[in-house]
Amino acid sequence: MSLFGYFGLGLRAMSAAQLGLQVAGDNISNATTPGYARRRLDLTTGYPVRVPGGMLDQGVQIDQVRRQQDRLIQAALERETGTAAFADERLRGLRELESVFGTLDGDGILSAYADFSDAFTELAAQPENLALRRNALSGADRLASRLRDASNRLLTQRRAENDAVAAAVEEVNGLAAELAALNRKIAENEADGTTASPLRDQRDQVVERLVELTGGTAVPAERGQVSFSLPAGTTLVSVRDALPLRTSRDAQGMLRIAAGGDGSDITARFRSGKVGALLAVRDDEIPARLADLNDLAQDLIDRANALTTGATDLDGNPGRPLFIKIPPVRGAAEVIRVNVSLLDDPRLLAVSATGAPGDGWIADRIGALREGSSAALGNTTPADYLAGVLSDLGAQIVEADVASEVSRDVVGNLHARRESVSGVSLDEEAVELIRHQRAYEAGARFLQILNEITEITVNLV
Amino acid sequence: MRVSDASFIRQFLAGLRSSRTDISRALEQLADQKRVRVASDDPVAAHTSLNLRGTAVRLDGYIRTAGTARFDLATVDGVLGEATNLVTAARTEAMAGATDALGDVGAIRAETVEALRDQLLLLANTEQNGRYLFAGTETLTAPFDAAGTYAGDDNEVLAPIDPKQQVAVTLSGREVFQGAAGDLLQTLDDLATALRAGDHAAIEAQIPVLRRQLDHLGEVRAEVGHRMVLIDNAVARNEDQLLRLRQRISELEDAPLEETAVRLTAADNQLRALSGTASRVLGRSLFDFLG
Repeated sequence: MSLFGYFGLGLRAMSAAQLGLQVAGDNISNATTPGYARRRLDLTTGYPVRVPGGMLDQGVQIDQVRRQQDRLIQAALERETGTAAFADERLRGLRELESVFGTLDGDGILSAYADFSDAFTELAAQPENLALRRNALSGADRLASRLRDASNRLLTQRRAENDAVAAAVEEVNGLAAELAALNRKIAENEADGTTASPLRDQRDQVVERLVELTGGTAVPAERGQVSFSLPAGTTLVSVRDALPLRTSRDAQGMLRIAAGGDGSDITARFRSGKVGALLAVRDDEIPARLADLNDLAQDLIDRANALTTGATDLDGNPGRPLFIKIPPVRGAAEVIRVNVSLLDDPRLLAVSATGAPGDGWIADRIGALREGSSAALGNTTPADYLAGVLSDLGAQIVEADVASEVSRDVVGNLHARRESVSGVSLDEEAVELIRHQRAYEAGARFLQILNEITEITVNLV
Repeated sequence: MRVSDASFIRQFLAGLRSSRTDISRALEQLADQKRVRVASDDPVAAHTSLNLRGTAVRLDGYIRTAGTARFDLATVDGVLGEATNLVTAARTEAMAGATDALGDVGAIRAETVEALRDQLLLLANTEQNGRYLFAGTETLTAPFDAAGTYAGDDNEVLAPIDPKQQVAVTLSGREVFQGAAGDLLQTLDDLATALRAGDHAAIEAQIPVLRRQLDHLGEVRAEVGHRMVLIDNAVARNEDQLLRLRQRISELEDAPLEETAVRLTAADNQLRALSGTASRVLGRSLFDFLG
C-alpha cells in the first residue's frame, strides 16, 4: 500500500467513529420513544492486502446499523397484548354494567321492590285508607320506574359500546392502510439489503395497536414485510394490500362487521382484543342483564295483575291490572308502568278478595310477591333472583379483574424482556460515546502522524 | 439481564400505579367506612347483605303495620270498656227499677236506659281513620242504624304483623253486640219498655240477660287484649331481629376504621419508598460523571 493509501485508512477509522457517535446519539435521543428498538453499529475489518510479511486489513469497514430485536419476544408480546386488551376492556364494561345497578345501600331496584311490598302489606291492614292506597301505588310506580331506569341505562350503555366498536373498527381500517403502506416502503428501502429500522419501528407500533384492537396476528412475509390476519383467519392486510372491514347496522342499530375480502359477517368471531371485549359486553353481557330485568318485570306484571284483576276495587267493581306495558311489544322492564287510571283514582286499586272494602287479602298477597318463589324466575323469589343477578355480576367482575391483572403481569414481564434486548440504557450509550470519541481522536492522531511523515518525505525531494 | 432505562421507568410506573390504587381504595373506605359498596367488592357478602337489607325493610314495615293495628285495637278496647260501663249502669237501673214502687221513677229510669242505649249505638258505630271498627270488613258502612239493624259482615280486617302472622283489627259488630248473649240494643230497649211500664217481672227478667251481656263483653275484651299481646310480642321479636340484621349488615359491609388506617399507612409508606428510590435511580447516570 502506498503512503497516500494510509490516508484512506485513517479516514475510514474516523468515519466509523463518527457514525458510532451518531448511532449513540440516536439511541440517547430515542431512549424514551415508544416502540424504538436500540440500534447497534456493526463494524468489520476491511479487505486484506498483501504487505511484506503477510496480509494486513485495510482498516475498518462499516457493515450495517442493526436494529436490536428478538422476534420471539415480539411475537409473544403481540399475542398477549390482544388478550390483555380484551381482559381490560371487558373489566371496564362489566364495571360500568354494575354501576347501572347502583350501590348496595343505594336506592336501587331491590330497595324499591322492598318498599313496594311494604306499602302493600301496610295497605292490607287498612285497605280502605286512601292515603295508604296512594302510598301503595306510588311504591308500585317507583318500582316500575327503577326497572325502566335500569333497563334504559343498560340500553344506553349498549349503544355506547356499539359506538366504541364503530370507532375501533374505523381505527383498525386506518391502521390496516398504514400497515400496507409501511410494508411497501420497507420493501423499497430494503431492496439493497439494508434494514430500514425507523420504518420497522413504526410498523411494529402499528401491528401492536392492531393486535390490541383486534387480537389478530401478524404473519411475516417475504422481504421483511408482514401480513395481518384477524382471529379465525380473516385477512386484514395481505402484504401490500389492506382489505378494510365493512360495516353495516342491524335492525337495532348495532354494528355488524364483515370481512373486507369475501364480505362474510365476522362479528361473532372477535373473541380477543378491545373489539372482542366491546362486542362481548354489547352482545352477551348487557343483553343477559336486560333479559334478567325483563324476566323480573314480566313476573311482577303477571303475578300482580293476576291478583288485582281477580279482586274488587273500593267501589265493588272488578279490578283492573296494576301494571301495564306501553308499548306492549318491547322488553317488560323497559316499558312497565303502573296503570294510569289507578294513579288518577286510587279507589280503583283492587285489593279486596270478598268485595268488602275492609278486606285487604289481595294487598297482602301483592306484598308477599317479593318473598314468593316464582316458576318464571327459576323457582326463586324476586328478591333472591335480583340479589343473585347482582352477586353473579360481582363474581364475574372479580374474575375479570384477576384475568386482567394476570395478563397485565404477563405483558409487563414481556415488555421487560423486550426492553432487555431492545431498550436503550443511557449508561451503555455513555460508554459508547467515550469509546467512539477515543476512536475518533486516535484516528485523527493517526492522520496527523501520517501527515508529518508525508511532510518529511516530501521535504526529502 | 440487561436493564434499560425504559424498563426502569416501566417498573416504577407499575409500582406507582399499584400503590396509588391501594391509597385511593383506602381513602374511599375511609370516606364512607364501607368495605363492600358494590357486589364486585365481595360477591358472597353482597348477596347475603342484599337479602338482609330487603328483610330489614320488610321488618320495618311489619313493625309500622303492627303499630297501626295496636292503635286500632286500643281504641276497640276502650270502646268495649265504655260499653261495659254503660251496660253496668243499665243493670244498676234494672236492679233498682225491679224494687221501685210504681210512679214517675220508672219513666225517668226508662229515659236513662234509653240514653245509655243511644250512647251504646254511638260506640258501636265508632269510626277511626275513616273506617268503622265494628263493621267487620264492611268498614265504610256504619254498622248499626237507629233501629239497631246490623249492616256489616262477620269477617275481620287482618293486619299482617309478621311475615307469618296476621291479627284481626276490626270486629264484627253482630258478634260483639248481637252475639251469644243476645241483642244488647234490643235488651236495653226491652228494659226501657219494662221500666216505663213498671213491669217488675219483665225488669227482673232482663237482669240475668244483662249479666250475660257483661260476661260476653268481658270475653270479647279479653280476646282483644290477647291480640294486643300478640302484637306486642311480634313487635318485640321483629325489633330484636331488625337489630341483629343491622348488625350483620354492618359486619358484612363496613370496614373497621383501624384496619383502613393501617392499610392507608402501608400503601403510603410503599409509595414514599418507591418515589424515593425512583428519584435516586432515575436521576443518575454515567453522564453525571462525564466531562
